[in-house]
Amino acid sequence: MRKINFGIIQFPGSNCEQDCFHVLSYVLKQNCRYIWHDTKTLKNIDCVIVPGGFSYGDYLRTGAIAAQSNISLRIKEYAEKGGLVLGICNGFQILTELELLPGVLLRNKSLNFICKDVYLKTMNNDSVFTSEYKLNETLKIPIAHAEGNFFVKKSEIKNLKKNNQIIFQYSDDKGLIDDSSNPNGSFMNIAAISNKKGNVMGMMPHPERVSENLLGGLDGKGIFKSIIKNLT
Amino acid sequence: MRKFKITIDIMPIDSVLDPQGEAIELILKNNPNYQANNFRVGKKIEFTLESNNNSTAKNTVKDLCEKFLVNEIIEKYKIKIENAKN
Repeated sequence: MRKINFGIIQFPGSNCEQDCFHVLSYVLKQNCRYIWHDTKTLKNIDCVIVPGGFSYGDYLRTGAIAAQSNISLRIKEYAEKGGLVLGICNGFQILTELELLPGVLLRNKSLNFICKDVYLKTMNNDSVFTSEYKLNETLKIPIAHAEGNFFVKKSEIKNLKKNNQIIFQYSDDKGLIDDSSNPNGSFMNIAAISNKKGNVMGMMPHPERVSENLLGGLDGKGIFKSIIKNLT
Repeated sequence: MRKFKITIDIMPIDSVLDPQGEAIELILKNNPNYQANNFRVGKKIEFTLESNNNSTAKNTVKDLCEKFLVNEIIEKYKIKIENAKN
Protein backbone atom coordinates (compact mmCIF):
# COMPACT_ATOMS: atom_id res chain seq x y z
CA MET A 1 0.00 0.00 0.00
CA ARG A 2 1.23 3.49 -0.83
CA LYS A 3 2.46 5.53 2.12
CA ILE A 4 0.82 8.90 2.66
CA ASN A 5 3.01 12.03 2.80
CA PHE A 6 2.02 14.09 5.80
CA GLY A 7 3.36 17.60 6.34
CA ILE A 8 3.30 18.91 9.90
CA ILE A 9 3.57 22.68 10.18
CA GLN A 10 5.87 24.19 12.81
CA PHE A 11 5.35 27.74 14.02
CA PRO A 12 7.37 29.40 16.79
CA GLY A 13 5.39 28.16 19.80
CA SER A 14 3.93 24.98 18.27
CA ASN A 15 4.25 22.20 20.83
CA CYS A 16 2.22 19.21 19.63
CA GLU A 17 4.01 18.59 16.35
CA GLN A 18 6.20 15.81 17.75
CA ASP A 19 3.17 13.94 19.09
CA CYS A 20 1.58 14.06 15.62
CA PHE A 21 4.86 13.03 14.01
CA HIS A 22 5.18 10.09 16.41
CA VAL A 23 1.67 8.80 15.71
CA LEU A 24 1.93 9.15 11.94
CA SER A 25 5.50 7.89 11.53
CA TYR A 26 5.93 5.27 14.23
CA VAL A 27 2.42 4.11 15.06
CA LEU A 28 0.84 4.32 11.60
CA LYS A 29 4.07 3.91 9.55
CA GLN A 30 3.45 6.78 7.14
CA ASN A 31 5.85 9.31 5.62
CA CYS A 32 5.98 12.46 7.63
CA ARG A 33 7.99 15.66 7.67
CA TYR A 34 8.03 18.95 9.49
CA ILE A 35 7.43 22.15 7.54
CA TRP A 36 8.82 25.34 9.09
CA HIS A 37 6.47 28.35 9.04
CA ASP A 38 8.82 30.42 6.88
CA THR A 39 8.74 27.90 4.03
CA LYS A 40 7.40 29.40 0.82
CA THR A 41 6.31 26.22 -0.91
CA LEU A 42 4.16 23.22 -0.05
CA LYS A 43 5.15 20.36 -2.36
CA ASN A 44 4.52 16.61 -2.44
CA ILE A 45 2.21 16.66 0.54
CA ASP A 46 -0.99 14.57 0.69
CA CYS A 47 -2.26 16.00 3.95
CA VAL A 48 -1.27 19.03 6.03
CA ILE A 49 -1.48 18.87 9.82
CA VAL A 50 -1.56 22.20 11.69
CA PRO A 51 -0.70 21.08 15.22
CA GLY A 52 -1.50 22.48 18.64
CA GLY A 53 0.55 24.85 20.74
CA PHE A 54 0.79 28.57 21.31
CA SER A 55 1.96 29.93 17.97
CA TYR A 56 3.53 33.36 18.44
CA GLY A 57 2.57 33.24 22.11
CA ASP A 58 -1.13 33.58 21.23
CA TYR A 59 -0.49 37.31 20.81
CA LEU A 60 -3.18 39.59 19.32
CA ARG A 61 -5.70 36.73 18.98
CA THR A 62 -4.98 33.00 19.05
CA GLY A 63 -3.81 31.96 15.60
CA ALA A 64 -3.95 35.49 14.16
CA ILE A 65 -0.22 36.03 13.71
CA ALA A 66 0.43 32.49 12.46
CA ALA A 67 -2.27 33.06 9.84
CA GLN A 68 -0.10 35.82 8.31
CA SER A 69 3.01 33.65 7.85
CA ASN A 70 4.39 32.46 4.51
CA ILE A 71 3.28 28.89 4.99
CA SER A 72 -0.26 29.85 6.00
CA LEU A 73 -0.83 31.52 2.65
CA ARG A 74 0.38 28.30 0.97
CA ILE A 75 -1.93 26.24 3.18
CA LYS A 76 -4.83 28.43 2.09
CA GLU A 77 -4.07 27.88 -1.59
CA TYR A 78 -3.55 24.16 -0.97
CA ALA A 79 -6.92 23.84 0.79
CA GLU A 80 -8.71 25.88 -1.84
CA LYS A 81 -7.44 23.42 -4.45
CA GLY A 82 -8.93 20.55 -2.42
CA GLY A 83 -5.89 19.46 -0.37
CA LEU A 84 -6.61 17.87 3.02
CA VAL A 85 -5.89 20.04 6.05
CA LEU A 86 -6.40 19.02 9.67
CA GLY A 87 -6.06 21.65 12.39
CA ILE A 88 -5.80 20.49 15.99
CA CYS A 89 -6.35 22.91 18.89
CA ASN A 90 -4.17 25.96 18.00
CA GLY A 91 -4.28 24.57 14.45
CA PHE A 92 -8.08 24.92 14.51
CA GLN A 93 -7.71 28.52 15.73
CA ILE A 94 -5.26 29.26 12.90
CA LEU A 95 -7.62 27.78 10.28
CA THR A 96 -10.48 30.02 11.45
CA GLU A 97 -8.19 33.06 11.29
CA LEU A 98 -7.25 31.98 7.76
CA GLU A 99 -11.00 31.87 7.02
CA LEU A 100 -10.69 28.29 5.84
CA LEU A 101 -13.20 27.43 8.58
CA PRO A 102 -16.08 29.58 9.84
CA GLY A 103 -16.27 31.04 13.34
CA VAL A 104 -13.78 31.93 16.05
CA LEU A 105 -12.47 30.19 19.17
CA LEU A 106 -13.07 32.55 22.08
CA ARG A 107 -11.72 32.43 25.62
CA ASN A 108 -13.27 29.57 27.61
CA LYS A 109 -16.40 30.70 29.40
CA SER A 110 -14.80 29.88 32.78
CA LEU A 111 -11.61 31.80 31.81
CA ASN A 112 -9.65 28.70 32.90
CA PHE A 113 -7.15 26.73 30.90
CA ILE A 114 -8.84 23.31 30.78
CA CYS A 115 -6.80 20.14 30.43
CA LYS A 116 -8.87 16.97 30.82
CA ASP A 117 -10.47 14.05 29.02
CA VAL A 118 -13.81 14.85 27.43
CA TYR A 119 -16.34 12.83 25.48
CA LEU A 120 -17.21 13.62 21.90
CA LYS A 121 -20.17 12.43 19.89
CA THR A 122 -19.51 11.69 16.22
CA MET A 123 -22.07 13.77 14.33
CA ASN A 124 -20.72 13.13 10.84
CA ASN A 125 -18.82 10.01 9.81
CA ASP A 126 -19.23 10.80 6.14
CA SER A 127 -16.03 12.85 6.27
CA VAL A 128 -12.53 11.93 5.10
CA PHE A 129 -11.43 12.62 8.66
CA THR A 130 -13.98 10.45 10.49
CA SER A 131 -15.01 7.58 8.21
CA GLU A 132 -13.43 5.04 10.59
CA TYR A 133 -15.94 5.93 13.30
CA LYS A 134 -19.61 4.99 13.55
CA LEU A 135 -22.26 7.70 13.41
CA ASN A 136 -23.12 8.80 16.99
CA GLU A 137 -20.11 6.90 18.36
CA THR A 138 -18.74 8.50 21.54
CA LEU A 139 -15.00 8.97 21.90
CA LYS A 140 -12.85 9.90 24.88
CA ILE A 141 -10.22 12.41 23.79
CA PRO A 142 -8.41 15.06 25.88
CA ILE A 143 -8.68 18.81 25.48
CA ALA A 144 -6.00 21.28 26.60
CA HIS A 145 -6.86 24.89 25.84
CA ALA A 146 -7.83 28.30 27.19
CA GLU A 147 -9.53 29.44 23.98
CA GLY A 148 -11.84 26.69 22.74
CA ASN A 149 -15.19 28.39 23.07
CA PHE A 150 -16.51 28.09 19.51
CA PHE A 151 -18.48 31.12 18.38
CA VAL A 152 -20.10 31.61 15.01
CA LYS A 153 -22.31 34.30 13.51
CA LYS A 154 -26.01 33.48 13.58
CA SER A 155 -26.15 33.72 9.80
CA GLU A 156 -23.55 30.94 9.55
CA ILE A 157 -25.33 28.44 11.81
CA LYS A 158 -27.85 27.35 9.17
CA ASN A 159 -25.02 26.63 6.74
CA LEU A 160 -23.12 24.55 9.29
CA LYS A 161 -26.18 22.36 9.82
CA LYS A 162 -27.31 22.26 6.21
CA ASN A 163 -23.88 21.28 4.90
CA ASN A 164 -23.28 18.73 7.66
CA GLN A 165 -20.17 20.63 8.79
CA ILE A 166 -20.54 19.79 12.49
CA ILE A 167 -18.24 16.80 12.96
CA PHE A 168 -17.98 16.34 16.75
CA GLN A 169 -19.96 17.76 19.65
CA TYR A 170 -19.01 17.58 23.33
CA SER A 171 -21.22 15.06 25.10
CA ASP A 172 -21.25 12.77 28.12
CA ASP A 173 -20.04 9.17 27.90
CA LYS A 174 -23.47 8.07 26.66
CA GLY A 175 -23.60 10.68 23.92
CA LEU A 176 -25.96 13.10 25.67
CA ILE A 177 -25.25 16.65 24.55
CA ASP A 178 -26.13 19.33 27.09
CA ASP A 179 -24.64 22.21 29.10
CA SER A 180 -23.12 19.90 31.69
CA SER A 181 -21.04 18.18 29.02
CA ASN A 182 -19.88 21.48 27.48
CA PRO A 183 -16.38 22.15 28.87
CA ASN A 184 -15.75 25.61 27.45
CA GLY A 185 -19.02 27.28 26.49
CA SER A 186 -18.85 26.36 22.80
CA PHE A 187 -21.89 27.18 20.75
CA MET A 188 -24.01 23.99 20.37
CA ASN A 189 -21.23 22.05 22.19
CA ILE A 190 -19.25 22.14 18.94
CA ALA A 191 -15.81 20.52 19.24
CA ALA A 192 -14.97 20.04 15.54
CA ILE A 193 -16.19 21.40 12.23
CA SER A 194 -15.24 21.06 8.60
CA ASN A 195 -15.46 23.47 5.71
CA LYS A 196 -18.33 23.11 3.24
CA LYS A 197 -16.27 21.03 0.83
CA GLY A 198 -15.15 18.71 3.64
CA ASN A 199 -11.40 18.80 2.93
CA VAL A 200 -10.54 21.00 5.92
CA MET A 201 -11.33 20.05 9.52
CA GLY A 202 -10.57 21.80 12.78
CA MET A 203 -10.93 20.20 16.19
CA MET A 204 -10.08 21.40 19.70
CA PRO A 205 -9.51 17.93 21.27
CA HIS A 206 -6.17 16.20 20.72
CA PRO A 207 -6.52 12.87 18.85
CA GLU A 208 -2.71 12.49 18.67
CA ARG A 209 -2.63 12.07 22.46
CA VAL A 210 -4.88 8.98 22.39
CA SER A 211 -3.62 6.97 19.45
CA GLU A 212 -1.84 4.13 21.24
CA ASN A 213 -2.75 2.02 24.25
CA LEU A 214 0.44 2.87 26.08
CA LEU A 215 -0.72 6.49 26.30
CA GLY A 216 -4.16 5.66 27.60
CA GLY A 217 -6.42 5.03 24.64
CA LEU A 218 -7.00 4.58 20.95
CA ASP A 219 -10.03 6.81 20.43
CA GLY A 220 -8.09 9.42 18.47
CA LYS A 221 -6.38 7.02 16.10
CA GLY A 222 -9.47 6.79 13.88
CA ILE A 223 -8.93 10.38 12.68
CA PHE A 224 -5.52 9.53 11.23
CA LYS A 225 -6.63 6.11 10.00
CA SER A 226 -9.59 7.72 8.20
CA ILE A 227 -7.28 10.14 6.39
CA ILE A 228 -4.90 7.35 5.36
CA LYS A 229 -7.73 5.09 4.19
CA ASN A 230 -9.35 7.85 2.15
CA LEU A 231 -6.07 8.80 0.47
CA THR A 232 -4.96 5.28 -0.49
CA MET B 1 4.86 61.46 2.90
CA ARG B 2 3.44 62.46 6.25
CA LYS B 3 3.79 60.61 9.51
CA PHE B 4 0.65 59.76 11.47
CA LYS B 5 0.07 58.39 14.93
CA ILE B 6 -2.60 55.70 14.75
CA THR B 7 -4.66 54.45 17.66
CA ILE B 8 -7.12 51.58 17.31
CA ASP B 9 -9.60 50.76 20.05
CA ILE B 10 -10.86 47.20 19.77
CA MET B 11 -13.86 45.92 21.72
CA PRO B 12 -15.82 42.66 21.69
CA ILE B 13 -19.12 43.11 19.83
CA ASP B 14 -22.24 43.19 21.98
CA SER B 15 -23.38 39.66 21.13
CA VAL B 16 -20.08 38.12 22.24
CA LEU B 17 -19.88 37.03 25.87
CA ASP B 18 -17.00 38.79 27.60
CA PRO B 19 -16.01 36.62 30.58
CA GLN B 20 -13.26 39.06 31.63
CA GLY B 21 -15.79 41.87 31.90
CA GLU B 22 -18.14 39.56 33.78
CA ALA B 23 -15.40 38.54 36.22
CA ILE B 24 -14.62 42.20 37.01
CA GLU B 25 -18.29 42.96 37.51
CA LEU B 26 -18.81 39.91 39.69
CA ILE B 27 -16.03 40.77 42.13
CA LEU B 28 -17.13 44.40 42.36
CA LYS B 29 -20.58 43.27 43.48
CA ASN B 30 -18.89 42.59 46.84
CA ASN B 31 -17.81 46.22 47.10
CA PRO B 32 -20.57 48.68 48.07
CA ASN B 33 -18.39 51.69 47.15
CA TYR B 34 -18.91 51.27 43.43
CA GLN B 35 -22.17 51.09 41.51
CA ALA B 36 -20.43 49.98 38.34
CA ASN B 37 -21.97 47.71 35.74
CA ASN B 38 -21.67 46.47 32.17
CA PHE B 39 -17.92 45.97 32.05
CA ARG B 40 -16.42 45.00 28.69
CA VAL B 41 -12.70 44.44 28.22
CA GLY B 42 -11.03 45.31 24.94
CA LYS B 43 -7.59 46.31 23.73
CA LYS B 44 -5.78 49.29 22.27
CA ILE B 45 -3.14 49.24 19.55
CA GLU B 46 -0.87 52.21 18.74
CA PHE B 47 1.59 52.61 15.89
CA THR B 48 2.97 55.16 13.44
CA LEU B 49 2.21 55.13 9.75
CA GLU B 50 3.63 57.01 6.79
CA SER B 51 1.06 57.99 4.22
CA ASN B 52 0.27 60.78 1.72
CA ASN B 53 -2.61 62.31 3.61
CA ASN B 54 -5.28 61.66 6.21
CA SER B 55 -7.60 59.92 3.79
CA THR B 56 -4.99 57.49 2.43
CA ALA B 57 -3.86 56.78 6.00
CA LYS B 58 -7.42 55.97 6.97
CA ASN B 59 -7.83 53.56 4.06
CA THR B 60 -4.58 51.78 4.87
CA VAL B 61 -5.46 51.40 8.54
CA LYS B 62 -8.95 50.14 7.71
CA ASP B 63 -7.47 47.54 5.38
CA LEU B 64 -4.96 46.47 8.05
CA CYS B 65 -7.76 46.15 10.62
CA GLU B 66 -9.98 44.09 8.34
CA LYS B 67 -7.20 41.76 7.21
CA PHE B 68 -5.23 41.31 10.41
CA LEU B 69 -5.62 43.43 13.52
CA VAL B 70 -9.34 42.91 14.09
CA ASN B 71 -11.54 39.85 13.70
CA GLU B 72 -14.89 41.34 12.80
CA ILE B 73 -16.78 38.16 13.67
CA ILE B 74 -16.20 39.00 17.34
CA GLU B 75 -14.72 42.50 17.48
CA LYS B 76 -15.55 46.10 16.56
CA TYR B 77 -13.04 48.94 16.33
CA LYS B 78 -12.51 52.68 16.18
CA ILE B 79 -9.61 54.35 14.42
CA LYS B 80 -8.00 57.59 15.61
CA ILE B 81 -5.54 59.35 13.31
CA GLU B 82 -3.30 62.19 14.55
CA ASN B 83 -0.21 63.89 13.21
CA ALA B 84 2.82 62.20 14.70
CA LYS B 85 5.33 64.28 16.64
CA ASN B 86 8.74 63.85 15.08
